[in-house]
Amino acid sequence: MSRSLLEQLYEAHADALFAFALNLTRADADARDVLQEVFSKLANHRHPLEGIRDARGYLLRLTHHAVVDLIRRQDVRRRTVTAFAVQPAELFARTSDPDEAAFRLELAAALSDLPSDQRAVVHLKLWEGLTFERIAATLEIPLHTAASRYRYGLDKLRVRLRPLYEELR
Amino acid sequence: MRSFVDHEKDPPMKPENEPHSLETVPDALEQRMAYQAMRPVPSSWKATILAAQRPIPTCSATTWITACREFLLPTPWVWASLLAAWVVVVGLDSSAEHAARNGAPLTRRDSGRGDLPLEEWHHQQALISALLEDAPAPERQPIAPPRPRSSLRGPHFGRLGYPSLVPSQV
Repeated sequence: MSRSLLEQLYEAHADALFAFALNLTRADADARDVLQEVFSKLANHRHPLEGIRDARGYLLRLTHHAVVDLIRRQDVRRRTVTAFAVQPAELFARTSDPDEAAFRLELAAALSDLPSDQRAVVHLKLWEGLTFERIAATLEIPLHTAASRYRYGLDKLRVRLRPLYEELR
Repeated sequence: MRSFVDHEKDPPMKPENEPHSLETVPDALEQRMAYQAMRPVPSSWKATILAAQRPIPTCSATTWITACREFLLPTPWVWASLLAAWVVVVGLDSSAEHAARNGAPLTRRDSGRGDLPLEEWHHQQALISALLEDAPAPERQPIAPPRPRSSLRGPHFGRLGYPSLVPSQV
Protein backbone atom coordinates (compact mmCIF):
# COMPACT_ATOMS: atom_id res chain seq x y z
CA MET A 1 0.00 0.00 0.00
CA SER A 2 1.26 3.45 -0.87
CA ARG A 3 2.29 5.84 1.85
CA SER A 4 -0.22 8.49 0.80
CA LEU A 5 -3.13 6.04 0.93
CA LEU A 6 -2.02 4.87 4.33
CA GLU A 7 -1.93 8.46 5.55
CA GLN A 8 -5.43 9.02 4.21
CA LEU A 9 -6.67 5.99 6.12
CA TYR A 10 -4.90 7.22 9.23
CA GLU A 11 -6.45 10.67 9.00
CA ALA A 12 -9.91 9.22 8.43
CA HIS A 13 -9.97 6.42 11.01
CA ALA A 14 -7.14 6.72 13.52
CA ASP A 15 -9.17 8.65 16.10
CA ALA A 16 -12.00 6.13 16.07
CA LEU A 17 -9.67 3.15 16.18
CA PHE A 18 -7.66 4.73 18.98
CA ALA A 19 -10.78 5.44 21.05
CA PHE A 20 -12.01 1.88 20.56
CA ALA A 21 -8.64 0.39 21.46
CA LEU A 22 -8.24 2.71 24.43
CA ASN A 23 -11.70 1.90 25.74
CA LEU A 24 -10.87 -1.80 25.63
CA THR A 25 -7.30 -1.70 26.87
CA ARG A 26 -7.36 1.39 29.10
CA ALA A 27 -3.65 1.93 28.52
CA ASP A 28 -2.06 4.39 26.13
CA ALA A 29 0.84 2.11 25.35
CA ASP A 30 -1.45 -0.81 24.55
CA ALA A 31 -3.67 1.34 22.35
CA ARG A 32 -0.59 2.53 20.54
CA ASP A 33 0.62 -1.04 20.01
CA VAL A 34 -2.79 -1.96 18.65
CA LEU A 35 -2.83 0.97 16.25
CA GLN A 36 0.68 0.16 15.13
CA GLU A 37 -0.27 -3.44 14.45
CA VAL A 38 -3.37 -2.48 12.50
CA PHE A 39 -1.57 0.02 10.30
CA SER A 40 1.36 -2.30 9.86
CA LYS A 41 -1.03 -4.95 8.55
CA LEU A 42 -2.55 -2.40 6.20
CA ALA A 43 0.87 -1.29 4.98
CA ASN A 44 1.98 -4.82 4.23
CA HIS A 45 -0.88 -5.51 1.87
CA ARG A 46 -0.96 -4.17 -1.64
CA HIS A 47 -4.73 -3.71 -1.67
CA PRO A 48 -5.94 -4.18 1.90
CA LEU A 49 -9.38 -2.66 1.38
CA GLU A 50 -10.06 -4.22 -2.01
CA GLY A 51 -13.62 -5.56 -2.15
CA ILE A 52 -14.49 -4.16 1.28
CA ARG A 53 -17.53 -1.90 1.35
CA ASP A 54 -17.40 -0.84 4.98
CA ALA A 55 -13.85 0.32 5.57
CA ARG A 56 -14.55 1.62 9.08
CA GLY A 57 -16.17 -1.64 10.11
CA TYR A 58 -13.28 -3.62 8.68
CA LEU A 59 -10.73 -1.48 10.50
CA LEU A 60 -12.69 -1.74 13.75
CA ARG A 61 -12.69 -5.51 13.34
CA LEU A 62 -8.93 -5.50 12.80
CA THR A 63 -8.57 -3.36 15.90
CA HIS A 64 -10.73 -5.71 17.94
CA HIS A 65 -8.66 -8.69 16.81
CA ALA A 66 -5.48 -6.87 17.73
CA VAL A 67 -6.88 -5.97 21.14
CA VAL A 68 -7.94 -9.55 21.84
CA ASP A 69 -4.50 -10.81 20.82
CA LEU A 70 -2.81 -8.20 22.97
CA ILE A 71 -4.92 -9.00 26.00
CA ARG A 72 -4.19 -12.69 25.62
CA ARG A 73 -0.47 -12.02 25.31
CA GLN A 74 -0.30 -9.60 28.18
CA ASP A 75 -2.68 -11.34 30.52
CA VAL A 76 -0.09 -11.81 33.22
CA ARG A 77 1.16 -8.25 32.96
CA ARG A 78 -2.38 -6.92 33.05
CA ARG A 79 -3.06 -8.73 36.29
CA THR A 80 0.04 -7.15 37.75
CA VAL A 81 -1.07 -3.70 36.62
CA THR A 82 -4.47 -4.28 38.18
CA ALA A 83 -2.86 -5.48 41.35
CA PHE A 84 -0.78 -2.32 41.61
CA ALA A 85 -3.86 -0.20 40.84
CA VAL A 86 -2.25 1.83 38.08
CA GLN A 87 -4.40 4.78 37.07
CA PRO A 88 -6.16 3.94 33.80
CA ALA A 89 -5.63 6.20 30.82
CA GLU A 90 -7.99 9.07 30.18
CA LEU A 91 -10.70 7.90 27.85
CA PHE A 92 -12.50 11.16 27.11
CA ALA A 93 -11.27 14.51 25.90
CA ARG A 94 -10.69 17.14 28.53
CA THR A 95 -13.30 19.83 28.95
CA SER A 96 -13.45 23.13 30.78
CA ASP A 97 -17.02 22.49 31.91
CA PRO A 98 -16.83 20.97 35.41
CA ASP A 99 -20.20 19.22 35.06
CA GLU A 100 -19.14 17.58 31.85
CA ALA A 101 -15.79 16.68 33.35
CA ALA A 102 -17.51 15.01 36.31
CA PHE A 103 -19.88 13.15 34.04
CA ARG A 104 -17.04 11.96 31.82
CA LEU A 105 -15.06 10.80 34.81
CA GLU A 106 -17.97 8.80 36.12
CA LEU A 107 -18.79 7.44 32.68
CA ALA A 108 -15.19 6.30 32.18
CA ALA A 109 -15.24 4.57 35.55
CA ALA A 110 -18.56 2.92 34.78
CA LEU A 111 -17.27 1.73 31.42
CA SER A 112 -14.17 0.26 32.99
CA ASP A 113 -16.39 -1.84 35.25
CA LEU A 114 -18.15 -3.42 32.27
CA PRO A 115 -16.94 -6.74 30.92
CA SER A 116 -14.87 -6.22 27.80
CA ASP A 117 -17.39 -7.86 25.48
CA GLN A 118 -20.18 -5.56 26.69
CA ARG A 119 -17.83 -2.58 26.60
CA ALA A 120 -16.97 -3.27 22.96
CA VAL A 121 -20.63 -3.39 21.95
CA VAL A 122 -21.50 -0.27 23.97
CA HIS A 123 -18.61 1.62 22.43
CA LEU A 124 -19.52 0.69 18.87
CA LYS A 125 -23.16 1.57 19.51
CA LEU A 126 -22.73 4.84 21.36
CA TRP A 127 -19.60 6.36 19.84
CA GLU A 128 -19.53 4.77 16.41
CA GLY A 129 -23.29 4.81 15.91
CA LEU A 130 -23.32 1.36 14.36
CA THR A 131 -26.43 -0.73 14.04
CA PHE A 132 -26.57 -4.06 15.83
CA GLU A 133 -26.18 -5.75 12.49
CA ARG A 134 -22.89 -3.99 11.80
CA ILE A 135 -21.74 -4.47 15.39
CA ALA A 136 -22.43 -8.18 15.04
CA ALA A 137 -20.48 -8.27 11.80
CA THR A 138 -17.60 -6.27 13.26
CA LEU A 139 -17.23 -8.33 16.42
CA GLU A 140 -18.20 -11.56 14.63
CA ILE A 141 -20.97 -12.41 17.07
CA PRO A 142 -24.66 -13.22 16.52
CA LEU A 143 -27.02 -10.30 16.09
CA HIS A 144 -29.06 -11.01 19.21
CA THR A 145 -25.90 -11.45 21.25
CA ALA A 146 -24.82 -7.98 20.23
CA ALA A 147 -28.20 -6.54 21.18
CA SER A 148 -28.34 -8.32 24.54
CA ARG A 149 -24.80 -7.32 25.43
CA TYR A 150 -25.70 -3.73 24.70
CA ARG A 151 -28.80 -3.90 26.85
CA TYR A 152 -26.94 -5.45 29.78
CA GLY A 153 -24.10 -2.96 29.50
CA LEU A 154 -26.38 0.02 29.13
CA ASP A 155 -28.43 -1.01 32.14
CA LYS A 156 -25.28 -1.09 34.27
CA LEU A 157 -24.25 2.32 32.99
CA ARG A 158 -27.70 3.72 33.71
CA VAL A 159 -27.72 2.41 37.25
CA ARG A 160 -24.36 3.99 37.95
CA LEU A 161 -24.83 7.27 36.11
CA ARG A 162 -28.48 8.03 36.86
CA PRO A 163 -27.90 9.82 40.20
CA LEU A 164 -25.19 12.06 38.76
CA TYR A 165 -27.21 12.66 35.64
CA GLU A 166 -30.25 13.70 37.65
CA GLU A 167 -28.10 15.94 39.80
CA LEU A 168 -26.44 17.68 36.87
CA ARG A 169 -29.60 18.14 34.86
CA MET B 1 -48.59 -13.58 -15.92
CA ARG B 2 -48.85 -13.51 -12.15
CA SER B 3 -52.16 -14.51 -10.68
CA PHE B 4 -53.88 -12.87 -7.81
CA VAL B 5 -53.17 -15.92 -5.66
CA ASP B 6 -49.42 -15.71 -6.35
CA HIS B 7 -49.43 -12.07 -5.44
CA GLU B 8 -51.12 -12.95 -2.18
CA LYS B 9 -48.25 -15.35 -1.34
CA ASP B 10 -45.54 -12.69 -1.70
CA PRO B 11 -44.04 -11.55 1.57
CA PRO B 12 -44.89 -8.04 2.60
CA MET B 13 -42.42 -5.44 1.40
CA LYS B 14 -40.24 -3.99 4.14
CA PRO B 15 -39.34 -0.34 3.78
CA GLU B 16 -35.59 0.28 3.59
CA ASN B 17 -35.58 2.98 6.22
CA GLU B 18 -37.45 0.90 8.75
CA PRO B 19 -35.23 0.36 11.79
CA HIS B 20 -34.41 -3.16 12.85
CA SER B 21 -36.71 -4.50 15.53
CA LEU B 22 -33.75 -4.70 17.93
CA GLU B 23 -32.92 -1.03 17.50
CA THR B 24 -34.57 1.35 19.94
CA VAL B 25 -34.74 5.09 20.21
CA PRO B 26 -32.07 6.27 22.66
CA ASP B 27 -33.23 8.04 25.76
CA ALA B 28 -31.74 11.27 27.14
CA LEU B 29 -29.09 9.59 29.28
CA GLU B 30 -28.01 7.40 26.39
CA GLN B 31 -27.79 10.46 24.17
CA ARG B 32 -25.74 12.32 26.73
CA MET B 33 -23.32 9.43 26.99
CA ALA B 34 -22.96 9.29 23.23
CA TYR B 35 -22.39 13.03 23.16
CA GLN B 36 -19.18 12.79 25.20
CA ALA B 37 -16.14 13.27 22.99
CA MET B 38 -13.50 10.62 23.10
CA ARG B 39 -9.86 11.58 23.41
CA PRO B 40 -8.26 11.91 19.97
CA VAL B 41 -5.16 10.00 19.03
CA PRO B 42 -2.04 11.92 20.08
CA SER B 43 -0.65 13.82 17.12
CA SER B 44 2.90 12.72 17.84
CA TRP B 45 2.00 9.09 17.20
CA LYS B 46 1.32 9.49 13.51
CA ALA B 47 4.93 9.58 12.38
CA THR B 48 5.86 6.61 14.56
CA ILE B 49 2.91 4.47 13.53
CA LEU B 50 3.23 5.20 9.83
CA ALA B 51 7.00 4.78 9.98
CA ALA B 52 6.45 1.17 10.97
CA GLN B 53 5.56 0.45 7.37
CA ARG B 54 7.84 -2.37 6.29
CA PRO B 55 8.67 -3.32 2.72
CA ILE B 56 6.36 -5.96 1.35
CA PRO B 57 8.09 -9.34 1.28
CA THR B 58 7.33 -10.84 -2.10
CA CYS B 59 8.49 -14.11 -3.52
CA SER B 60 6.69 -14.15 -6.82
CA ALA B 61 8.00 -15.26 -10.18
CA THR B 62 8.05 -11.70 -11.47
CA THR B 63 10.38 -10.73 -8.65
CA TRP B 64 12.81 -13.45 -9.65
CA ILE B 65 12.63 -12.48 -13.30
CA THR B 66 13.25 -8.86 -12.43
CA ALA B 67 16.19 -9.75 -10.23
CA CYS B 68 17.75 -11.92 -12.95
CA ARG B 69 17.23 -9.20 -15.51
CA GLU B 70 18.89 -6.61 -13.33
CA PHE B 71 21.82 -8.97 -12.79
CA LEU B 72 22.31 -9.90 -16.44
CA LEU B 73 21.48 -6.76 -18.34
CA PRO B 74 24.49 -4.56 -17.44
CA THR B 75 27.02 -6.97 -19.11
CA PRO B 76 25.18 -8.98 -21.77
CA TRP B 77 28.32 -9.79 -23.87
CA VAL B 78 30.16 -11.21 -20.89
CA TRP B 79 27.31 -13.54 -20.07
CA ALA B 80 26.89 -14.48 -23.74
CA SER B 81 30.59 -15.37 -24.12
CA LEU B 82 30.48 -17.34 -20.88
CA LEU B 83 27.49 -19.24 -22.17
CA ALA B 84 29.29 -19.92 -25.48
CA ALA B 85 32.35 -21.21 -23.63
CA TRP B 86 30.16 -23.57 -21.63
CA VAL B 87 28.53 -24.80 -24.82
CA VAL B 88 31.98 -25.56 -26.31
CA VAL B 89 33.07 -27.39 -23.15
CA VAL B 90 29.91 -29.46 -23.05
CA GLY B 91 30.30 -30.26 -26.77
CA LEU B 92 33.89 -31.43 -26.37
CA ASP B 93 32.96 -33.51 -23.37
CA SER B 94 30.12 -35.22 -25.16
CA SER B 95 32.29 -35.90 -28.23
CA ALA B 96 34.97 -37.48 -26.02
CA GLU B 97 32.38 -39.70 -24.41
CA HIS B 98 31.11 -40.66 -27.83
CA ALA B 99 34.62 -41.61 -28.99
CA ALA B 100 35.19 -43.69 -25.86
CA ARG B 101 32.00 -45.60 -26.48
CA ASN B 102 33.15 -46.31 -30.04
CA GLY B 103 36.38 -47.97 -28.85
CA ALA B 104 38.92 -45.16 -29.10
CA PRO B 105 41.62 -45.53 -26.44
CA LEU B 106 41.57 -42.98 -23.71
CA THR B 107 44.84 -41.77 -22.24
CA ARG B 108 45.12 -42.48 -18.62
CA ARG B 109 47.55 -40.88 -16.27
CA ASP B 110 49.69 -43.29 -14.34
CA SER B 111 49.13 -42.23 -10.81
CA GLY B 112 52.01 -44.37 -9.42
CA ARG B 113 54.70 -42.85 -11.62
CA GLY B 114 55.33 -39.91 -9.33
CA ASP B 115 55.76 -42.03 -6.24
CA LEU B 116 59.33 -42.57 -5.12
CA PRO B 117 60.20 -46.19 -4.21
CA LEU B 118 62.00 -46.83 -0.98
CA GLU B 119 65.13 -48.20 -2.66
CA GLU B 120 65.46 -45.11 -4.84
CA TRP B 121 65.18 -42.95 -1.75
CA HIS B 122 67.89 -44.94 -0.01
CA HIS B 123 70.13 -44.59 -3.06
CA GLN B 124 69.64 -40.83 -3.12
CA GLN B 125 70.41 -40.60 0.59
CA ALA B 126 73.58 -42.56 0.04
CA LEU B 127 74.59 -40.28 -2.82
CA ILE B 128 74.02 -37.20 -0.70
CA SER B 129 76.01 -38.61 2.20
CA ALA B 130 78.79 -39.62 -0.19
CA LEU B 131 78.95 -36.16 -1.68
CA LEU B 132 79.03 -34.60 1.75
CA GLU B 133 81.73 -36.94 3.04
CA ASP B 134 83.61 -36.87 -0.25
CA ALA B 135 83.49 -40.61 -0.42
CA PRO B 136 83.06 -42.74 -3.53
CA ALA B 137 79.46 -43.06 -4.44
CA PRO B 138 78.01 -46.51 -4.17
CA GLU B 139 76.96 -48.16 -7.29
CA ARG B 140 73.40 -47.76 -8.11
CA GLN B 141 71.48 -50.94 -7.71
CA PRO B 142 68.66 -51.74 -9.98
CA ILE B 143 65.31 -50.84 -8.59
CA ALA B 144 63.49 -53.91 -7.50
CA PRO B 145 59.80 -53.99 -8.02
CA PRO B 146 57.88 -53.51 -4.80
CA ARG B 147 57.00 -56.64 -3.01
CA PRO B 148 53.71 -57.28 -1.37
CA ARG B 149 53.51 -56.24 2.26
CA SER B 150 52.84 -59.76 3.38
CA SER B 151 56.33 -60.78 2.22
CA LEU B 152 57.86 -58.25 4.61
CA ARG B 153 56.71 -60.39 7.47
CA GLY B 154 59.63 -62.53 8.31
CA PRO B 155 62.16 -63.13 10.98
CA HIS B 156 63.66 -59.60 10.65
CA PHE B 157 60.32 -57.88 10.87
CA GLY B 158 57.78 -57.50 13.58
CA ARG B 159 54.26 -58.76 13.63
CA LEU B 160 52.98 -55.69 11.81
CA GLY B 161 55.69 -55.65 9.14
CA TYR B 162 57.95 -53.01 10.71
CA PRO B 163 61.63 -53.80 11.37
CA SER B 164 62.03 -55.41 14.72
CA LEU B 165 64.29 -53.79 17.33
CA VAL B 166 64.97 -57.09 18.97
CA PRO B 167 67.52 -59.18 17.03
CA SER B 168 65.87 -62.30 15.98
CA GLN B 169 67.42 -65.72 15.87
CA VAL B 170 68.00 -66.76 12.33
